[in-house]
Amino acid sequence: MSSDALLRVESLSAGYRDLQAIWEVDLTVQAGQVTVLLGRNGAGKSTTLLTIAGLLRTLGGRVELGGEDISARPARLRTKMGLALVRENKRIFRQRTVEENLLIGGFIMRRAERQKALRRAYEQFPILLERRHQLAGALSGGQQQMLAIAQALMPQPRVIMLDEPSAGLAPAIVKDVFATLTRLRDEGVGVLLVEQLVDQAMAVADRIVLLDQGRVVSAGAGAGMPDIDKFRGVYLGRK
Amino acid sequence: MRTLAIARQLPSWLWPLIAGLALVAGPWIGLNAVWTRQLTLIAIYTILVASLNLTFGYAGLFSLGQVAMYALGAYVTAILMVHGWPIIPSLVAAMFAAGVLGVITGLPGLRLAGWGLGMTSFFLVILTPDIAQVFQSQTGGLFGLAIFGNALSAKGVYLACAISMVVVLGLLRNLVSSSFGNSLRVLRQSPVLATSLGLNVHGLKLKSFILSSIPAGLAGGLYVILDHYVSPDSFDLTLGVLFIAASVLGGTESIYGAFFGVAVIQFLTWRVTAFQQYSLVAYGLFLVLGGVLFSRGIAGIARDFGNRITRKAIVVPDRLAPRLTTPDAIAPIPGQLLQLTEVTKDFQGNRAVDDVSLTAGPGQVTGLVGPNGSGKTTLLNLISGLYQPTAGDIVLGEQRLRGVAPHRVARGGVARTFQTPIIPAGMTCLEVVASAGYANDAPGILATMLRLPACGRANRSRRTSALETMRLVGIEHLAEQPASGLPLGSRRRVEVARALAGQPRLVLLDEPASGLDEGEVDDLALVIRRVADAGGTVILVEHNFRMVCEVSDRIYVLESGRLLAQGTPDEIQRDEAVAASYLGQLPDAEEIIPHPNPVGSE
Repeated sequence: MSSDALLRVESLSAGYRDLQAIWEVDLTVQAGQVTVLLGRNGAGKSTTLLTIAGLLRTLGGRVELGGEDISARPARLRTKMGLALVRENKRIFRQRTVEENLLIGGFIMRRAERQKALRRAYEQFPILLERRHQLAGALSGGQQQMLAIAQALMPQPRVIMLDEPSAGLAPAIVKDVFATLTRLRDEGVGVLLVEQLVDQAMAVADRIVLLDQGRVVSAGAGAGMPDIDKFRGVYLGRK
Repeated sequence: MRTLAIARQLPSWLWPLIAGLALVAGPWIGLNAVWTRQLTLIAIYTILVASLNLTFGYAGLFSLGQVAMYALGAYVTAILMVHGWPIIPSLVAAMFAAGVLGVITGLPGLRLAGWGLGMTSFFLVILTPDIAQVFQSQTGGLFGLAIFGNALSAKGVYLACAISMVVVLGLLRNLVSSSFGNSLRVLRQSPVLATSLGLNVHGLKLKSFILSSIPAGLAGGLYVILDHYVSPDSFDLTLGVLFIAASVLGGTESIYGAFFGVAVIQFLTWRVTAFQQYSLVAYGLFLVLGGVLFSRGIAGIARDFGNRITRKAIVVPDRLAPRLTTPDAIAPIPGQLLQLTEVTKDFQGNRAVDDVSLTAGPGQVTGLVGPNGSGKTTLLNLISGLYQPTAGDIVLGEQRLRGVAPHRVARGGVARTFQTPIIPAGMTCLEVVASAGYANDAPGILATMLRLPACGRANRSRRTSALETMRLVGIEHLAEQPASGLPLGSRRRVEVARALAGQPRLVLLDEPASGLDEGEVDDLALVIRRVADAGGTVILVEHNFRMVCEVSDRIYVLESGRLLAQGTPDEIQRDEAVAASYLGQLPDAEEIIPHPNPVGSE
């Protein structure tokens, strides 16, 4: 099914220097849907995102975006084709202003489009307009996460991947972040989410992929979704 | 390959010692006169570069001062020998003088942050000829000073230099492989971490600088014994660059590497005339090559090779970490009562903490929650002495913490973790956890260098207690793993173990569950509860509200630097102001988490 998948990952293997970290990972992300990647720390979730983004060497398998094989493309071309990644720990340029950070996000765009994208970002995140001339490092943790997401959204990606966007944020702010995700989803963007807050992630998930020790142990959508309580017991060691 | 693997099982000091002895015996086992002279020079420079590595490589302090110490050692030896002193007392005097110069340059140089030491030592080197000129009557000014008589044979000089080198390398090796060496690694990684472990950052820098000055003085003296002549133009900046190049080429974070770095450069200088002519260019090239191609120098390549043979380097990711199951009885932790009274902190007109009073008792977990930027971490920094409060008082047990230097607060038993774990590179988990004890029971420098029994005893007791703490936290199986390469969850637990290892009177945990998966959060909650049940005083800053409610006895809520609410977990969960500002909405009645009292005890 789902030949209409926006992002399709088939049998992807990757790793670092001497160490392979993921084996034959399959997953799909549909337009206007959220795919959630769950697993223990060290299961290979971040590695999977980095490999899809083209930031790690692929050892095998393929990545398709909108039906096109992008496995051999360098990371910057993948970004150009509409793939965005928000890495963990709010990696923004702390010594640059909010606006400069946004413009950096639109680096690959033409000038006129970049200005348009900037206005769009301020519409979506009014707090960033308020703080546009402040240093990004002076923002609160939640605002920094918003900035990181807004930065990734500048070139209007078709698929956005987020690595633990809730980490280090207060509960109220986590709710804001998830509200942003659902809004993106409703606008038709495909979302691939890695998250430790299982309950919150489950609440927005259209499709779930469970990863353990670098391999997919279960995956499904709708009625075929994996049993999350069993997953908790077996892989997260919860009672 | 197999034999090589077996060779690595032997004690690590055996091969260098055999190589050193073979080197000392060189002239008697067929080394000719030309090579003997070259090796003598290599030995002298090796002493100097190896000691440079102590500050440059291990402590991360950039300095050109070795040249000045070298020059001073040379002049002191020459002048004393001209006055008829025998060789050995002259050399001892040279070392002493270099040590004193180390104190004189180190005190101001190290106070200045960043490039302070580099600049101070740079000018010291530039001034060397002028100083020689000022004391012309003694130094011979620009013409130099020649020594007649009291000469050793070429073999005698070689023997003196080779033995000196072996001894110096041995002592330095003992030093860097000890708790002192690890303290330097901690310092290089993060002065804030060093401070929070109770290490006196300034004192540690000064010690390492002085310790590296003394061998440089010895090297200068040996040079005079070799050449019978000393003049100001022997000590210029080119020499300083040569030392740095040799250090980088050999591997800055290495002691034996210095020999190979020096040997390569000395051999090229000797054999390739063009090299002499363009030496500065060549040294520059070595620095760039060293920096780009093999950042850890010859020593780094050798280590990688050794590791490949024994398969030591492969970090097995902590995927199969056993979950904590058995609630072991743990040794009592001497927690004490912490009291904050009306504490306020201003940063340039910006009030980060505003009139906060808080009590954290022994045997209890005190939760501290609030929106991002509400002042939680600032409060931890105030308690640990990194910041001083603008107003108010902080008292732990009987001791006032306000106005006390942060490393003294740490020595007084305040341990902490950081939002982003700070784990020094190049240390095993066991060493990282054991580093909690460096400040309070470090054996003396001399005992460390000579490997006296006191040093071994301190090491063993630190190791035992570190292992015990690691078992409590559930990371015993990681003891021999390089710590900095582990996944986040494991690094957090290593940090928690380090905070607990020093028998703390107060433990400050700054978002320890951030980035952990659910199972790891459960384990961490269990550990925190065990620590409190053993009598520890724990302050927990955390956004995982469920976990905070599970483990805390009392929760304080901060907002914009002020206390918004305080109470038991039940009270806080029902508090409407907290729900509105922190949680985002009022939790449903059935969502309220009962406080299982106390977790982890039957």
